[in-house]
Amino acid sequence: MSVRLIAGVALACAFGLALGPRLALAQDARLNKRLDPQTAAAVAALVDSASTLGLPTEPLVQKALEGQSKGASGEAIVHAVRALIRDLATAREALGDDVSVDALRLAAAALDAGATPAQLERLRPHRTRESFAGGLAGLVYLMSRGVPAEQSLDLITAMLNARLSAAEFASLQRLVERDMMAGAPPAEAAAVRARALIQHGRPTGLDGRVRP
Amino acid sequence: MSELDPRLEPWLAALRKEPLARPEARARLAAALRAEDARAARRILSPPAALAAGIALVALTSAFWLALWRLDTPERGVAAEELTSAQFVLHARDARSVSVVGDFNDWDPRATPLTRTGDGVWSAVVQLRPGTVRYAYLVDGTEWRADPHAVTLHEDFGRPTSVAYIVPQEAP
Repeated sequence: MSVRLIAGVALACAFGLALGPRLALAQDARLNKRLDPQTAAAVAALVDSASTLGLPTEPLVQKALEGQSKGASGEAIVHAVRALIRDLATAREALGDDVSVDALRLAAAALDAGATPAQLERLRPHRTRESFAGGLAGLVYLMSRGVPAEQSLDLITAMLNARLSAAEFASLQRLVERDMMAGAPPAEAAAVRARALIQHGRPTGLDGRVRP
Repeated sequence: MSELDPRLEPWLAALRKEPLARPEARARLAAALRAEDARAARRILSPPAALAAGIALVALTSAFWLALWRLDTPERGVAAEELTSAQFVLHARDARSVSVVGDFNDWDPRATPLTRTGDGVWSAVVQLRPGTVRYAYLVDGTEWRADPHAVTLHEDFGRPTSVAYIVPQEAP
């Protein structure tokens, strides 16, 4: 093999390896297509940094697209993406490296809803449970309905300890919503429904589906 | 082995000697050999072949990185059997159009229009992967509304966003 051929192969490999990640991300032309060049470049740089940190990047792209769709300024989009990176990093620090992308996104939403990193950290021992993301979804739901963070966390922790499934966490939301429509205070409805789910599981009909 | 006739030795010694050639002839021979070598090298690495090889290598390495990237982002590349049907419903009596816009359709307002199914009731069924979904309704192309039956997050861009968790389908 000639020197020229070896040099050509080495150059191509170096070029591909160096630019590969950028080309792969550049394949995602959504940013360039939807954002002005300056904002797209700023968001791409943030996405690149998040990727280097091992954080999921798709939620960041989606945050930028959400901003564009809602008519936000480039500055607001970059600010929101940066804030999301901070929340995802905080959530990962609180919960550990081995949580799913869904769990990280929900934990970031819990921080957004007012939970503290220390409160999230209390859920860390449950992170390997299959229904962990469902539990975090339940936490975000309860907090968004005005149930205090500490009480929400206690209820969700008790449900995770009882090894309830993701479907049972989802039924907590349905049942609390129903109680609230009937006039029950959210915190009281959540406490009663969570206790019932822990003791009896979710109410089912003959076909195994959740009762309407 | 039998011994050779001593009289033949000088002849054999002469045959073993490197043939003497004139320096000009040697130079011509060396030049011819170098030219042949260069022709062979050009056949191996002609400019179009080198370019094609380079492009192929860049494409292959990029594909490798792209595959790694897709593996790292589970939102993408979801098998059809993992998808589950989700129904989006909004009551908007006076609306002329409603669409659901979220991270499952890249926040594209035209991607998922709802159809009027009753008296002011708009709905659409969307195939989604289990997990977190962030979305909002867009009424008449201008008014953003949260889903009244889902969690509403802080308004990042001055518009509401709902979040729902799509539970994986249970095995029968």
